[in-house]
Amino acid sequence: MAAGRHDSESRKSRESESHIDDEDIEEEEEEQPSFSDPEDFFDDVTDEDLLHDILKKKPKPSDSVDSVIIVDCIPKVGKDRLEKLKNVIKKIFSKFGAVVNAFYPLDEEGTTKGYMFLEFSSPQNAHEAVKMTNGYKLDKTHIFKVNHFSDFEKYVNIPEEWTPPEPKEYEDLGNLRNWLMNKECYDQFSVIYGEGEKTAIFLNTPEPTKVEERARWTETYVRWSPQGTYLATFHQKGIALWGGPGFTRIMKFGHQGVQLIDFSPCERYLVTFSPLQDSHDDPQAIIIWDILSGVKKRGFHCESRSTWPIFKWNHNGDFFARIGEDAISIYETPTAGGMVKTIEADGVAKTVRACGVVKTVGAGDVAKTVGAGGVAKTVGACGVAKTIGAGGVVETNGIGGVMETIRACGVIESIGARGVGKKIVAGSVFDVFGVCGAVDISGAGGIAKATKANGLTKSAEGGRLAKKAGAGGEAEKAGVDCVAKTTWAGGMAKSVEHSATVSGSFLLAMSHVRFELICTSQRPVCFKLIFTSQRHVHHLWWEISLGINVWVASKDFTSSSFGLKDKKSLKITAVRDFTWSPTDNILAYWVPEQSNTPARVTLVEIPSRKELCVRNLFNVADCRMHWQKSGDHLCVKVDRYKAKKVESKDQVKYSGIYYNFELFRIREKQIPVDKVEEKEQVLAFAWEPVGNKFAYIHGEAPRISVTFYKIHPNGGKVELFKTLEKKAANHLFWSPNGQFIVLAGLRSMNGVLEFVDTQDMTIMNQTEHFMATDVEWDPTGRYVVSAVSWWGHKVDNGYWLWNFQGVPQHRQPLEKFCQLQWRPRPPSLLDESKVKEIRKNFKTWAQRFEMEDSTRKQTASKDLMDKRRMLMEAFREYRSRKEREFAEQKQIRLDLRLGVDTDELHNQEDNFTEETIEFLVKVEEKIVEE
Amino acid sequence: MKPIMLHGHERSITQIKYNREGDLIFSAAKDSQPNVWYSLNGERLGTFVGHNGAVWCIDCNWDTTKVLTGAADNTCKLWDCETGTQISSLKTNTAVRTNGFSYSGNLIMYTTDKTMGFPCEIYIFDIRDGSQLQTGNPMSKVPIESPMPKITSAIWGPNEEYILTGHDGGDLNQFDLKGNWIKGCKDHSGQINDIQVYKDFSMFITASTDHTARLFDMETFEPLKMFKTERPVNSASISPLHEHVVLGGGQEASLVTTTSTRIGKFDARFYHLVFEEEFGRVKGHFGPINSIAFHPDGLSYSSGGEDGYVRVHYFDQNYLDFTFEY
Repeated sequence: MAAGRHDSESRKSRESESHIDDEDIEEEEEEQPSFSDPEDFFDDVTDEDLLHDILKKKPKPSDSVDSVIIVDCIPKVGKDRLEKLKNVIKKIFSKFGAVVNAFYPLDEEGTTKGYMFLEFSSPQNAHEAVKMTNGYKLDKTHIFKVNHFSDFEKYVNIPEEWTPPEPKEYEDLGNLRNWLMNKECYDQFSVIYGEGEKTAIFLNTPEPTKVEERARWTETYVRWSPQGTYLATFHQKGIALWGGPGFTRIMKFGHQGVQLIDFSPCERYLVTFSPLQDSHDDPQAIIIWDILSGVKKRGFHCESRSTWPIFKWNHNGDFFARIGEDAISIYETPTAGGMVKTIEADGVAKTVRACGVVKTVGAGDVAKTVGAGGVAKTVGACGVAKTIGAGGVVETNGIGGVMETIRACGVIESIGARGVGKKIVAGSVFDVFGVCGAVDISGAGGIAKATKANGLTKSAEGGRLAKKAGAGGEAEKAGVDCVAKTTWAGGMAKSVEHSATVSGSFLLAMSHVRFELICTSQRPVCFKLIFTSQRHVHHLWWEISLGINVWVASKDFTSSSFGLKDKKSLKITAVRDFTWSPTDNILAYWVPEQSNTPARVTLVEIPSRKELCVRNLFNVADCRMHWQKSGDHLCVKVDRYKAKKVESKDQVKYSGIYYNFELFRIREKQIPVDKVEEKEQVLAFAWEPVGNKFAYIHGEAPRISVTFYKIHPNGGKVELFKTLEKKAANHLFWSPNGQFIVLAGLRSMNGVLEFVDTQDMTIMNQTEHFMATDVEWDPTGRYVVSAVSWWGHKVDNGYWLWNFQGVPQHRQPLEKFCQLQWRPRPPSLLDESKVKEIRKNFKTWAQRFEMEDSTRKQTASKDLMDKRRMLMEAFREYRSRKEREFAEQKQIRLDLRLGVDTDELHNQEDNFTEETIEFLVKVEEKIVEE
Repeated sequence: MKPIMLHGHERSITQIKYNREGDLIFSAAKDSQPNVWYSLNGERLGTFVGHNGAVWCIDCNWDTTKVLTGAADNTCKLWDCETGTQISSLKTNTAVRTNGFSYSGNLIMYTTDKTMGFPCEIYIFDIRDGSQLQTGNPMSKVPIESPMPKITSAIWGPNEEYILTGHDGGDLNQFDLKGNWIKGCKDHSGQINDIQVYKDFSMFITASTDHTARLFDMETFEPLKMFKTERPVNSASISPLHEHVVLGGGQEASLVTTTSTRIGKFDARFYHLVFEEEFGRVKGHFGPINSIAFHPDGLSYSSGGEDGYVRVHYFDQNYLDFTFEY
């Protein structure tokens, strides 16, 4: 239409031209209507509105350009051999698709210039051709360099100077562990209800209090990270992590269609899985993310059909492994083994935690920022980022600069005193500090001084240090991580009653140099200094406890980030399954029978790959490995058969199945193995998490029994402890602290719950939560929740809270309740001696707690009474008003009912006529003797 | 005390009512014969024979001379209570869902279902005017038009000044005798199955499928209290003696066959009127309770269930002695 108007306009203008020529004729003719727009007309219709369907078809430069590739390093030939070259090239490239166009640039003499352009019919073909023929060896002197034409510009325009990425502004998210600060140690739990529409966080106070509730917080379900710091929510676009005092969003990870996630035990990495979006050259099915920086660390394909989690993490997150065809692939994270890695790309030290105390940082970030020309950044476990120092410091001052920097923070004195940092150059670095705004050196120094003056342990007491640090505002800027952690530790200390536990860490990074200070009261203080020059990392480490231990190491490391440990998988033919020890770097795997060799279970130490123990087993149908939580024992449940029938290649039928438990005692020399046999079918198995018992359910319904075994701590004798017969149970739930166990008959068994104290095997309570689908212990072992999830059962959804003895505490019916999860706690900071001490003084503690409980109960019942009294008063007042009104209307009522007063039920006695009704009660016949 | 079981219906009970003195219990069921019983011993006094379909509602007037029944056979019948003879039969287009005598007994009202293209309607007759009953021309007729959902329960207001209706969607509305809408509210989120008044007409309680029963002020429609359960509530009644209410309900009848009685929760549940706290349950029915009522003296109560039984319970002494601490 627009074009049409243009036409008419141009015609009009042509007419007006002719009009000037034939002025006289025109005048005599009838006046033509004017087709031109009035002068103030503004055409507000864009071409886009008018012709969008046609514009869509408008060719774009990228359409054809994407199908064009450049082939470089082809032979330079003269006219005579051009045809032959063309044939060769055609032969090589035509297998990737139809070559639409081939252009050979020629010089004045008609010789080819050594490169050419090829156009394919589609970009896909071009893409394939680039991938397959780049590096193609035509002959010794001609190795093809093949590129996309569209990439050409990109490569040409790479700037000579590398500009550092902008450091991200530090955002204070608050104390991520603030939920641990409540004095009574109440735990939190998350609840999803309303068909998944609503998610709420509750605090388990005597009457659970709602901490937070949001509609549509997640699209499917939620998960807590292993130490409870983060709450992960699932969305179509990826995962979001929430935490801190107000459950603010901490990070998001874009992974379209994500279905499953897994955290590394150290909470540094997140593994996500999505069935969508995997492409051959860019693995996207499983992605490992750095939680603090939000950076994607590595993608993996997911070919295997093994169950989630496909990647299994070792106990501290240094390694993760997955099973492959005839192999177990073990990968390492940059934190592994306290080593230092370098990134060759920017030649900068990428660090790294050592000694397992400090939780640093998205290492990549640090490296980049460091490389960026001297803006050092520390990022701590609490997510605190901090800029200290500036460019050039290192180059000019070397180590001394660092020393100075640290001294500025008041910590270095100890090192200086030990004569390590002799080359102290003052002034300039101070200035640098000033520039960065971390001027309040005294604030930061305050911490250090306090630390020094009081000794590390003392300074932590009662969170005094934390207060101090927190008070000195600017100090936070200088010693962030320290402050944050100390605050947290102080909080913990409070909640565990002045356990005097503080962990603080201080971290500094500078261009090519990193300084790390790690201090905890229970551990020696470690100072670590790392500086790099190109590919070499010199790794220095001081350990200072009461005396001075200095350990210096210098090593060369090369880059291996999220790569295969030692660059190769652990080859194990036909390996079926593996598990990590929950406390050590030990991996257990089993291999089924192959022709002549028996099945075997092997324990391997990682990273040395030393076989610690091999156990051969015969007639094995299947194996299940169960580690005890404390890593002391491993139980392998072996399904054994009496006869085997091979039906087809993959189908083997076993008959006469019986069961063995192979019990490995990991802590003893040579790892002795005991065996327990069980003839009946084993339905469930569970180790006591802390302690030395295990329980399993066996038998056929309705004759189901639960058997307990005990392993003697000395000598390791395994003995039958107790069998509970005729139980309705299909699940075992040990308290996280051992001793107490809940035998549960979930779902098909109607929700029977039995609370057992395994100390003396008393059954504390036998009860039922009808149709319960889930049972969850809280992380402290004080409470248990049984729940009927809407996912499993459609009516009576809700959760019931019991204490560990099975005494009901709270019943909460909840419309379309789906899932309840307790928020995990980080490991206790109390060491064994402290725990012992608390146990010893248990009576005094108990007294105090009981007193607190009874006062709370009293106030609670008083509150209830007050509430009732208030309600009653209000209601009485309302009633008296209504009764007055009622009395006023008496005449109306009398009129309506013919003057009969029916207000009281029995006030018209005269209306009644008495009637005597006789009932025949009994007929009896008695023979009277004459 | 062991309840008295009134076993006279072949199908599920739809509504039960005491007369004003409480000596008689009227029961309607999905079989076509409403019954009347002595509440004292459970003896059947008689039946009202004439309906040809499920009887949805029953009421008797204040001096127990007349009985009104409404049924799915598209009639609302007026009976002589003493003899059980039919006085009049009013023909309707659809099933009669709910009915009632006014305070004086001179007026009757009933409402019809919205089915087969006919709207839900309220009818009011003056039974003193014989021509109205004979011709079927009501004193007033109120069509309930969308978007207002159909009426599922209705009662007379105090001194027969207006009619109070509970609707499918949980709305409550008030109409005067000429059929003018006066006011309404919506506090329930599910169908209102039953409305019962307090003895002095100052408050009323509603039972809803949204698993709650609520107490309202009659004059203002202000919600006073709420009683929560985990099941649809079919009926609720306020004790005339104590500050108690009783709720009856349970899993929907259509779902009961797939679940056990335990899961259906067919108990009658007692709550404190003021504190909203549950203090007792009475088991017994093996189907949902469809209608529940306190005796006018508050010393007994009756419940009628989907199982076809009416159970008359006389309270034990410990119920009468029970008090809440406050």
